[in-house]
Amino acid sequence: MSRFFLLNRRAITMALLLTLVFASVLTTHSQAAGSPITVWIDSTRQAAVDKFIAANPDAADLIKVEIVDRATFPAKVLLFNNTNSGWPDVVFAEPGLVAQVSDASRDFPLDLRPFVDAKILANFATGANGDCILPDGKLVCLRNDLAQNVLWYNVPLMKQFGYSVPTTWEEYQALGEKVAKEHPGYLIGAFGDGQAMNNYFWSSGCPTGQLVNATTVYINTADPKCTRAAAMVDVLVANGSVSKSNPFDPAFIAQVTSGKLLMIPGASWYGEYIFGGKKDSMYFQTATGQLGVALPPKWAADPKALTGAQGGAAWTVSKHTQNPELATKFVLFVTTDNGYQGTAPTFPAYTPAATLWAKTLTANPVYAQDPFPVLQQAAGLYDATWGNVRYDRAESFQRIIIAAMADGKTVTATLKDWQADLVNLAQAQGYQVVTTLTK
Amino acid sequence: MTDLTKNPPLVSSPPRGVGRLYRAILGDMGAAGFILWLVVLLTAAIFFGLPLLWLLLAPSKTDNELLNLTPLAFGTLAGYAKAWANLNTFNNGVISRWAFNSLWYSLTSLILSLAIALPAGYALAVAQFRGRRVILFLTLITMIVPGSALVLPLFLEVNVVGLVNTPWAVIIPSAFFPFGVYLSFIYFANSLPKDLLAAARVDGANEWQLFRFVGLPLARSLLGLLAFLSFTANWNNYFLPFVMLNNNTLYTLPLGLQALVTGTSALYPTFATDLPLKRPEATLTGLITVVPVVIVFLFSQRYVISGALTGATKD
Amino acid sequence: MSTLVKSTTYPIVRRAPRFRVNAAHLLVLPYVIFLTLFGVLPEITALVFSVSKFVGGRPQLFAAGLSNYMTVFNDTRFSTSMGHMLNYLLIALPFGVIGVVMLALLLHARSGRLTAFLRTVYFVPGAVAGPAVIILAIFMFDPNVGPFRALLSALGLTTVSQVVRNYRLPFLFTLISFFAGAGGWIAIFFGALNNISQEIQEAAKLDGCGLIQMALRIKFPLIRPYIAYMAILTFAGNIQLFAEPQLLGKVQGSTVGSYWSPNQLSYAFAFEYGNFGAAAALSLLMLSIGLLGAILVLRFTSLFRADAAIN
Repeated sequence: MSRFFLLNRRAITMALLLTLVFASVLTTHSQAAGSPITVWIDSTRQAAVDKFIAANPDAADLIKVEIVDRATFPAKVLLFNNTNSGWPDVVFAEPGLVAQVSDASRDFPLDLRPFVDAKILANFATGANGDCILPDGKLVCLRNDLAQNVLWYNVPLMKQFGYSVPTTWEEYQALGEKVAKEHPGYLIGAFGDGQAMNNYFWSSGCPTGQLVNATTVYINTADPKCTRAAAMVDVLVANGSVSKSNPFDPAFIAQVTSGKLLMIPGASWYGEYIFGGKKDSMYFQTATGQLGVALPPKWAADPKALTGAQGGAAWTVSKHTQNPELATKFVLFVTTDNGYQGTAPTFPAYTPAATLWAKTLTANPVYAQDPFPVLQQAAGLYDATWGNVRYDRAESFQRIIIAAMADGKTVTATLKDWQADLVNLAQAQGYQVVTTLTK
Repeated sequence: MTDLTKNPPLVSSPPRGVGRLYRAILGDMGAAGFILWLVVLLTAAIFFGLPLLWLLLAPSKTDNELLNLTPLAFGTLAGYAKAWANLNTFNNGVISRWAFNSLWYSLTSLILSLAIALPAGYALAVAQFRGRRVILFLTLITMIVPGSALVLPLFLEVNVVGLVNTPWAVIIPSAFFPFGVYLSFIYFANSLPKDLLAAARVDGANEWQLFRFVGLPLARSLLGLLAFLSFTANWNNYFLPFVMLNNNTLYTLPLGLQALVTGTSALYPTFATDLPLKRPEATLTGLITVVPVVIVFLFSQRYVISGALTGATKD
Repeated sequence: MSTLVKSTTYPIVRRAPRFRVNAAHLLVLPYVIFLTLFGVLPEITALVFSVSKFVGGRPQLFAAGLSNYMTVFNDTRFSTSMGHMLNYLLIALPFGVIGVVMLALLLHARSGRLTAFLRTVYFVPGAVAGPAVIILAIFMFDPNVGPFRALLSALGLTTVSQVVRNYRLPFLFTLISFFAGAGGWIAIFFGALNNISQEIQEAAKLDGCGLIQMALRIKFPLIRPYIAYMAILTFAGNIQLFAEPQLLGKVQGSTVGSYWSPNQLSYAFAFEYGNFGAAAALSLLMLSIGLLGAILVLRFTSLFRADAAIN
């Protein structure tokens, strides 16, 4: 009787223990796999989600996609903070937007460092994730693609005029002066919107938002790195070799289609999406191997060339997510998967995928030669001192500098106003501003 | 008695023949006055009408045709179909969903706001009760307060009852129509026949009966005008749905189209996207938001324009 | 007289007012509820927010004192946006009021199919509003695309960015808001003009009143309440200018910026910086300006008098 009783008790205990073990295994497994995640993307990234689900079918029910206007993302996060719910788990957004939601009032992103292998991180293009790393070291996003600025030029036209592609900005200016004298009406650049800031000032290292530490920025448009770019641009705009229109202005496009564009500094996606070589492309409607690409020029005094960027986005994860494993797995997949990034529309930030992506370029006969080596090299030339700050410098640039130019003023004369505006914007965002750097 | 010798009346003996035609056209104006009158009004008509005419014709053209053909040229009927098909490539044709949402949010809000504004305007105009001036003053203030100040408080209020991200978060606040109450107040204050009301009261009619049998029938034209204004305001409202709705499938047309236009290369080419959204599609989005309102307008035309605010004492 | 006989028969007329007041209260009750919920309560909350500190986007009530107002005043964009708004008001308000009244009076000068048709033409653009009208405006201002391109080219303007120059913005915004808003007001004024009794007009005609005198001496004074109403609301609406500069600012190469109007700046304080307190402070400043204008107009007209009949 007692033996039976003991056996029973042991059996019951065993059964209980086993049930507990099974239960905990089951629940943790379902917790990790069970919580759905909401992904905010634009319509172009639907392909990324589809590829992830194809590779991970058991996650199909857990991923809820919402196509949003990502410009509203920072505003929405504020509203969610007030209701303590509703945050999306994964968001596709530019590093500038991610910086905004990383501020004290929103505090949205999850630190991805524990989830990302150091080896994988190292495989991103040099400096690509620089905008995703906060001054305190937190990794708040992973770059999806890059939009490094390079120098696009018309190969046959350059040959016809007997010009060589400039490798320094000094040569660029000299070329502009030559063009104005010998072939007036031909263009070597555009200075009509925020892109000009990235092409000419970012690549010069002009300090419009250099992060000294997490709360302090160095802003000084009187710095030689700014004034040298301004002086060059003033000369070229005055002699007409750089247009005062923006590159997408119908007037500028008309000049391009009538064959007046010699060269233009522009982002890596200009090749496919602006020059194109297809019937409804903006600049080149035929593909005759006329498009050449060169590294962005460097200032003679600088040790190496620096470049800016125009676009490129990233993926960020919410710190409020209920399923960080799935969310980070998704982000890692879409940023590094060859199957997706290899066929993506723009230059992948992840180098192995970028090498695969290169093949999509060679298919386009508009290029005079394979543009990928130049693009890849330029991807490593980001000027890291530009700083991923929370205020919109392009908006300030357009409002102050471009407006002044429309009134006939020079860039050099307007640098002071730009300084005042940048300082005001930075302070409004809560930064301390210094106008000199104490070494 | 007016001295007819000093100021002869304008009405002279009826003209004959060409003179009659001349008279019929010019009416009481001189020739120069008539021409000036016509020029001013026709210039205004061009200002108001030409953009919409252009908008009607624009989606029929391709992006290049928009630049190269004359502004009022017609492209092809297939152009509309193509532009619509292109718009539907955005998020699996969610645009139809947006149109449906806009329609039912606006209609529901419309009914609610009329049911609230009409009686309120009547009461404010007809009765002397405590708080009348306060209500009018508060209404005025509410119309002047900038919307951005009220956004977060409104959002928090709606959130307290758990209605955020539901259609009711848009419908119920939209039913608050202070402008309609003001308009209703001014209308009733100016066109209700006071003597008729007083007589009816002496006869023993209570206020409900007065409202139902005197006020409401007279307000038919006001109803049309208010309905149109309320519907239009709700249909075109951007800010409220923006704050209240997160789910893309709940969006209204202005909200969704805004996202569509700014998130693609329809107007701003810095976004590299493969979607075929260019200028004709952008104009089609404009047309889509306009057409339903114009239809509502044409239906309520009788009330809105021709009889707008006509009072009961017009002989 | 004798107090023994207490009269308990009250005259019938005294019963009616009490009954009247109750019914009126009931008729107005739904609106009062909505007014409280969506008008008064948010406004009081906004007032409280303006003196509250916002941390993490969440309010710490009454913690800020006047610092939100100082944040607003010290921001350089405050004075520039106020200057823009003043510029805009100086153009838009007279243009709007005079334009609407003039067109309404002209239309009313003679009735007939032509004027009925014209009224419809003026009214239909009111159907276009919000983002759609801005998108339409972007096309209208484009010398390469819109139907006014001949006119724009004749003025020497070849690209959109030449048209949308900063100093021209108040005028352009005036055009946009007049396009979208005038028709509705013209309809309202036309109705008000129709309410003027025929007897007065006939009598004036007999006295030798010409069309212009009729318009200025007879019709105009009788529609003054509507003009006052329109002035207040147009003023209030113009102060809140937001959509036009916000969307025009997104056009490629636009120099409008994101902080052109005070309302845009308020929006930025709210949604860019998460400082709803400063947003509320700025909005309340704008409200007081609007209120000042409204009070001035109300002083000079008796808009609230229920017996301000015009016939």
